[in-house]
Amino acid sequence: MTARRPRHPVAAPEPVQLVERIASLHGRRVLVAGDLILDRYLRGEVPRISPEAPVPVFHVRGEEERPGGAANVAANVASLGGAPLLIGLRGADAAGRRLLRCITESGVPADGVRVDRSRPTIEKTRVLARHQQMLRVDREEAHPLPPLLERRIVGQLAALRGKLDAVILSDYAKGLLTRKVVEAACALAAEVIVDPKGRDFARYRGAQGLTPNAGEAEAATGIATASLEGCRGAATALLRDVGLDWVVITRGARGIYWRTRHGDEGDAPTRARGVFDVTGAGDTVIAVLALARAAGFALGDAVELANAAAGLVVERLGAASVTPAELAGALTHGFSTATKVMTLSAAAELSRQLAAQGRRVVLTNGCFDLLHAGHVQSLEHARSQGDALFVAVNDDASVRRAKGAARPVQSLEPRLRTLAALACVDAVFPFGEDTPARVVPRIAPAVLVKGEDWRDKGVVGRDWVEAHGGRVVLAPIVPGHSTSAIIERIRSGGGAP
Amino acid sequence: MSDRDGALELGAIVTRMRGASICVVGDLIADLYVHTRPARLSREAPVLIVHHEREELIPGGAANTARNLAALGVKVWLVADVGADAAGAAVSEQLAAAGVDVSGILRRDDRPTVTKTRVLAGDPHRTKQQLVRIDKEPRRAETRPRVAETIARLERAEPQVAAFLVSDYDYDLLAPPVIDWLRARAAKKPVVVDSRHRLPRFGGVAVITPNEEEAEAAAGLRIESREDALEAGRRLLTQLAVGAVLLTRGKHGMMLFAAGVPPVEYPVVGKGEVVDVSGAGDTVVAAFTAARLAGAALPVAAWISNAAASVVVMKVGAAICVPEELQKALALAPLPASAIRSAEA
Repeated sequence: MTARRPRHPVAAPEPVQLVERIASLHGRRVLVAGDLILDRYLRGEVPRISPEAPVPVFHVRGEEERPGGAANVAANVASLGGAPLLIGLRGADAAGRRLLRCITESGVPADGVRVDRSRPTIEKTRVLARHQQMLRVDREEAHPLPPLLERRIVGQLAALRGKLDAVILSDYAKGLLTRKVVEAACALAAEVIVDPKGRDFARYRGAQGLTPNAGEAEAATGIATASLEGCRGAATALLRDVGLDWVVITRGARGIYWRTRHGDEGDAPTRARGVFDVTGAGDTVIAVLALARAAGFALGDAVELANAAAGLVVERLGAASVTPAELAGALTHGFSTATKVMTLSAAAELSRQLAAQGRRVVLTNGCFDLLHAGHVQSLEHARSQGDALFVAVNDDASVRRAKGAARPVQSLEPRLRTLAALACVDAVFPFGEDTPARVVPRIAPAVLVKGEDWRDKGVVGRDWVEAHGGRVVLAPIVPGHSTSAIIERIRSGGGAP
Repeated sequence: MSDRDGALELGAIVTRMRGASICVVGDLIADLYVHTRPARLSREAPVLIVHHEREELIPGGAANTARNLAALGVKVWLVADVGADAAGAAVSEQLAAAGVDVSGILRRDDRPTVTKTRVLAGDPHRTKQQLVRIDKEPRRAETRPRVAETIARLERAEPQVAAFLVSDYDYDLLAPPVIDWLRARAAKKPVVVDSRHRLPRFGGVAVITPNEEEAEAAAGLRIESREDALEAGRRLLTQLAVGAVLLTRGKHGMMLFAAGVPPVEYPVVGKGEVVDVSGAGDTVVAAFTAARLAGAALPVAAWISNAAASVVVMKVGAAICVPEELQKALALAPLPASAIRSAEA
């Protein structure tokens, strides 16, 4: 809590207290109404320039579709253990059917999704070469709701009166949230929280909470929001002008600022340490806020929880939502890298997902008994050969077979845990055989990395990898570093050479 | 033979194409043109966001060749693979509507339809500019060609067709055993080959129809002059032991090489503006093969295909040429004397 001069200072919530209350989010009924989007990601490479025109030729290696917009908010509610209901529109087209499937697969009931024949399903296709976005192609027709559909949706909302613990209006300005729909939502006898769009927030009058980002708050109020002071001014103006109970302003890398109409305020600094992808973090924030408020959390506590969840989402590879267990872990231990330790099956599943996204998985293996600078350097080299590094670690019995009864010095668990803490490592898992022959086909890596010293011994798994379009890289060995040498120096009582 | 008679004779050949039947075998491509309008810069990354306006799907590769044959009235069997996706279904549907027999199209769920998506952007009422081409293709390491199924489809087509036309874009359909099967048929039925990178694999067939780039690669020499082109054509004729080589040279016209007769050179026909050459090679091989089956001598068939090309290059996108258009183009372009002499020889 670093807010200056709060009129009503609020004590920072104890993480332990919050952890105990996470269970109370379970089963809360949250209605999400808003614009549904099919988010598509084409991942691939640009191997050449087109012979027809001076433009890049992009080769698709993987294609992924995710629920976007209000559908992603509902997916976040489901992932946190809440019971989401979703109201929104799709087109009468193939993209609409695929969107329905994405929604259902994310654990959200799709029966509240209606077909709007007057426009196509909203689709946003991102073209990503390696990790760089090249282009986004949007397919949408933004126009107000046809009157008949509007009446039906108002009726759909009215039927939910008294059956909800919270309401989220997720506005992407594509037409669903007309004034009549907002009014109907505000008559539901549950707290209504709006993720707004555009400049005119008066449209949301009747709602209790508003969660603009700093840019949106600035555009709506004309008050610069770069500073905390600015956020305070913008929030105060919004509370007054829109008649709200509270405002939460998400500030990207600067964290989250919140303020109530009573003048209580606070800010939570960002908890993510490395930002992988901020897309969708706002959807996670509003989902956690709604569930926490439905469970009776004070706004400051709800923001603290939302902030921890947002940190998890932006920090991790491929994450779009958070589970209660992950949230509890983040609050208790800070951001633990222990989640990188997994079983072979879990690693195989993660590898399959990454490959489907067009990412190149690198696999290496070893004992990693006493982690030293040579290990670190070779692991970093391995990571640079692709997009994600998987490390297979020999279990204690297989280390003994390879290195003698005196090894390993450290048992499997600490060896796995230490490797997981390295930034260049994305997944760590044990294996019990003498060679990774069984591991290679399970992980199906695009790149298999072994030390240069394996050149003459033959790399186990080479045939499999090369037959499946992958490659083998022999990493340079860093001289002067080895676990055996360290053990010898300790034994002989000598210091660093 | 007067010009008038020549035109009548050419016209009769075009009319007789209707009775021909051809099996097209090769790589089917879906050419998708996405028309968009630039909207703004993205907040996620410094890239352009474009708004989708409309899209247009055109059968390409072997499908374009098949469509061109069907447009000329030829009965076409197509042996090709598509993926279990929307693009494959849409192309198959368009081909069926055009009269192509699509029972030889195999729908596979282990690979996508080869799709080339061109994203075009520009304000309304202005010429749109291509931003990127997005290619979706089978991954060689992961898919195996369905050799046995392909040969079974060819065997089903064989009794019903008078010729095979190979449209090879170097994807996964024409595996070595399929090529061997086709070459073995060359003794009985004409096999005409349009191959992107593998001409040398097709020795002994009736006709090959390379463009300059393909001829350069197969003959192993750079084509920078008329003499180079003549040399390349002669080399291909003898090295591959094919019946004829029809070398298409873009704005320099065509050259026909056949065993025992001097090469024939054809200028570009027509004075219309060339707007788009994509797919013109497919039209050439289609018209050429159809003309041969309709009884045209090699030099006459080449001339007819030259006229067909002149029709499609004046249209945008991979286009087709219908008999009426071909008749009209031929009426304006009498058979050159060199072709008549060669045909009589």
